[in-house]
Amino acid sequence: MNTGGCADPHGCEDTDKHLYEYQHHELTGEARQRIEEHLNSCTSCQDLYREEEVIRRRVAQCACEAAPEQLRARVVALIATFRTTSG
Amino acid sequence: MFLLDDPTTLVDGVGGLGSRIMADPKDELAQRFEAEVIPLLDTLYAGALRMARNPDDASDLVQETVERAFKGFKSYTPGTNLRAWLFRIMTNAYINIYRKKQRQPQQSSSDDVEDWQMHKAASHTSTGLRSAEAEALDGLPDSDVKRALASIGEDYRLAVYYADVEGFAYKEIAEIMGTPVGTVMSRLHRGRKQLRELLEDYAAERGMVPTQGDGS
Repeated sequence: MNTGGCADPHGCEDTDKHLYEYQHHELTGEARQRIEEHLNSCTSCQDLYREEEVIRRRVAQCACEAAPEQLRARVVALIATFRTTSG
Repeated sequence: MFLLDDPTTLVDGVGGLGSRIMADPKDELAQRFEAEVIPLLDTLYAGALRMARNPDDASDLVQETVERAFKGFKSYTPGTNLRAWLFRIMTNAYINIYRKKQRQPQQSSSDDVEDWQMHKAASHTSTGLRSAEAEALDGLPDSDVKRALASIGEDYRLAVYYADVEGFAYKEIAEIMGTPVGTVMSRLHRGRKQLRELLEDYAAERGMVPTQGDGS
């Protein structure tokens, strides 16, 4: 899929398969090192990873809407009823 | 709840009475609940928006979650991940209330999407354009990113949300979604790949990336 010009196409395949685990810090030890080493030597996978990092950052930035004030007020009022009604 | 090595829980024990001697334990619980949950309201709302997908339903879902969470708050172990615990409750509330309402077939998005993705993957081998694409994706308006996230299958969207926005470990996501870790991994994999394809398409539509000569 992403093997253009790389001397280690198996490494590309491996990286493609585990890139998200690598990105989310789910890989440790040898598995992590393997991906790291491949990324250091393959510009094509580097570019892919850079793109995935951009996507991850953009998603994190765009999917964090603040709760509307109305909701905040509703929840505060709701919690107040927990205090008075349940005793 | 006699975690005597944890000073914050002393009020429940025999020690640490002092000025709290008259305090109602229910009131204490509600106070602690408020102090811990209110700061997470934005987070809960953003998560609810990934499920309910419109502000009114998302607000209702947050309120329902808070209600259920308080009922079960005694079973929450202090010091464990409260956000994850709340999202687990929200997931259940969402499945109980909203999914039932929609009366969707259970396998809603997961199956057809795979075919869609495989079909798309064939036309997207943009080696050599990647570095240009990273720049382009960075320049897309927020509305495109939200639109792409809203377009992918629900299970994929939530897995991506939990991993990329909330930063939960896969094991925590598995607990929240009630699935094995392997399922979380495949949802993330498919979800993120679809997201990439969509965002690349949007960038191409906006003329932000040189298109390959594919005959679509």
